[in-house]
Amino acid sequence: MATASRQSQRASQASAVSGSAVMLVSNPNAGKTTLFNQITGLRHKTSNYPGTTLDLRSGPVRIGDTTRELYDMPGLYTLQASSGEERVAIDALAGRAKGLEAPAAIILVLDATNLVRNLYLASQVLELGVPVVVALNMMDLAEQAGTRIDVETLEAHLGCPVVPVVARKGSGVDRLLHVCGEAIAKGQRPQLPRLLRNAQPITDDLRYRWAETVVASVLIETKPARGKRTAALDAFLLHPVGGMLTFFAVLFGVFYLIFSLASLPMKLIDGAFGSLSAWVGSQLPAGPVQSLIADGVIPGVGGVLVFLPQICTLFFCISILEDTGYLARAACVVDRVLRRVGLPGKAFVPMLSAHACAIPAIMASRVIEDRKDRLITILILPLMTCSARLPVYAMVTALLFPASPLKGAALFTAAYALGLIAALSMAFLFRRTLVKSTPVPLMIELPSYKLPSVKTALLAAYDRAKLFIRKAGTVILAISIVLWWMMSYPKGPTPSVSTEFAASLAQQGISAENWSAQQQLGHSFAGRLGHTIEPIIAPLGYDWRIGVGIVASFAAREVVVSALSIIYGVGEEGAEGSSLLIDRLQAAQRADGTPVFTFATCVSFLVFYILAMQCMPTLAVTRRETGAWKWAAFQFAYMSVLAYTAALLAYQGLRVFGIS
Amino acid sequence: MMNQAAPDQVLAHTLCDSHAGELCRVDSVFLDADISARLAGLGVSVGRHMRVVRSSEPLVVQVYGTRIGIARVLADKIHVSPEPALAAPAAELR
Repeated sequence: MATASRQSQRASQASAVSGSAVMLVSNPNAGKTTLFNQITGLRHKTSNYPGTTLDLRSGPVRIGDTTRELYDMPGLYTLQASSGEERVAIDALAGRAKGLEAPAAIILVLDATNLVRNLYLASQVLELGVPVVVALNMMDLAEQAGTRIDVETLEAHLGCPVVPVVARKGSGVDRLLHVCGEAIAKGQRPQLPRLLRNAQPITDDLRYRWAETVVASVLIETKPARGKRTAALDAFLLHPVGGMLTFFAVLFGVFYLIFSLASLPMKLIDGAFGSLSAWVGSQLPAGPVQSLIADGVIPGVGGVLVFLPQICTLFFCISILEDTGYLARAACVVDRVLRRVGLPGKAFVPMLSAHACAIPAIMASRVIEDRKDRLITILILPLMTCSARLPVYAMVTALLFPASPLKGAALFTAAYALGLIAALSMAFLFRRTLVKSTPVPLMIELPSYKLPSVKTALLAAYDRAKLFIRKAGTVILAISIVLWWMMSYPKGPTPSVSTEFAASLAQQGISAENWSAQQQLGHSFAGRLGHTIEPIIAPLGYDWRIGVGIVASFAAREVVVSALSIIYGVGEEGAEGSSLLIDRLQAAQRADGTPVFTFATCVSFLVFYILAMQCMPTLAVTRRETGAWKWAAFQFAYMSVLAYTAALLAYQGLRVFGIS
Repeated sequence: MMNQAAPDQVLAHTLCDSHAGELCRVDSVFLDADISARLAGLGVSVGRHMRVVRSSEPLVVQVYGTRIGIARVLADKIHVSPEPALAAPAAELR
């Protein structure tokens, strides 16, 4: 009951503030985001709420004579939650959020098809003492379902203006903004309904009784309600077997789209950055600046932006699935499985995203309300196979099974499975050591199934893309510069290649230019580090040249293929895993004449790259989302130890069995 | 609702004990404040009528026209009394 008194205290505090912002509030699934998109279009921006992980979308909107900032608050079921994103949103609504303008008015979106529960939230919002305008959404769906709502009576009950809207079609939006402007001008604070006004404290039971009374007097039933379709679909989609099969089918479909739809734009981006780099290289005078830009910055940034199409496709799919109502069912189905290893069911969306890229996945883990649940999810996400690992998988597959697509496919599958199994095992382990608690049990609304909105999905993809570029972009730029420096300095003596030597190189299939590049990399800091760490990595079956690859890909794992290309004298062109690189790797020999890339070394190398945390941008995002460098450091440390140990076991184990 | 003494365990009937199709009314919720606040926001709070749609894991109830999935460990802490079908208010089905 302490919550109730805190509520009224909050209301009196809030009545003192009068800000300039307008905030959109509603239950999840009430169409708030659709309405926000209708009002602001592409003019919105996403900004971080200071000191938290809450990202708020906001956009300018013309209300009356003033341009105000409209905020899309996270979906809320209650203003009484004491943790998570919700808490922050509640503070913002009450005008107690530092660094955020207080609301001049709140636009409360109510779902006309689900009025009682929406009014429960309304009873709490009305208490805030801020002018409220109700946008009564989904009136069309309510009518289809056989109900009509008496808007005037509802207005009388709520003590604030009510404007019917259909957010999907944008109807009623102009009137909504007009009424909102009037409410602000008049400073019209809602009068708390009589039933609630005199009660102290206001119990949940009372709020619901009030909501039921209101609905009983405003709802006019025109034909009996139905809901057989939802029931039938749920019977199948929540079924232990049928639900699981559907889940895997949907998962497969999403992956298929990620890899098929995104492949063409990825090639285009890759090609564009390649040409840009070549063009800049030809335009600038040769020297460190040209090298920095053409060999460092452009390929570095391009190497990450190439994943953008996959990220967009992924979030487009997730938005569509969420809109249809399927995502909530999927969470129910996988909750049964994930809970056994100590992960909440809601972790599956981040886990799905992590198969494209860990960065948006870590950001998506915000859907998990509990802090401990979220921490464990974030820690294990980078073990999932992200797209940046694919060039490495492709290279090893080509090395091991050049002629057998079937064995190659099996190896790929095994690599994905190892990442997933490692992630689940580590979650299990952390739950028993680091965070000794059980995941917060599932409670989730299963919204009615409906047709998804392509516009919302496109905007979601656009939003994620922007966020990814901003979050990853700054870090990537810095990393590219450092890496370039490590691979370019100190400069070795410029090798002069005699015609005879060039001829002998040519016999081995190495151009003089590639030979120089090879010598320079060997001489650089990265090359020296490769030599330095050789004793450490020798038990894994690696030589110093693989060491250079590991050092160079320290901050971004996909760099390893191009680094190996340079160190084996194939030049940058080998970066695509071309047959030239594979031939050269297969021919590579140790000092004693034995081949470097034996079966055991290849497996050990693959295992290492599946498990190692070689992605600096991910660490930066982990730090941001957990709020502490110590978790980023821990993530790096445990993954490195895991990768080293597993690669060691793989290599030495295979040798014990006589496979080298 | 948190402060009420636990009813006689022998008589207690929880949401977990309910069968699919059954109508019931929530008598008390024995869960910590944050979880009960969230459940209340979803429509699962003392005095509410609901229909158990699926008694699987998670349990699915229909309350005020929406379906809510609730883990059985939570449902086990939600005490309910079964309601004869006709006594339930029509609002439950909306």
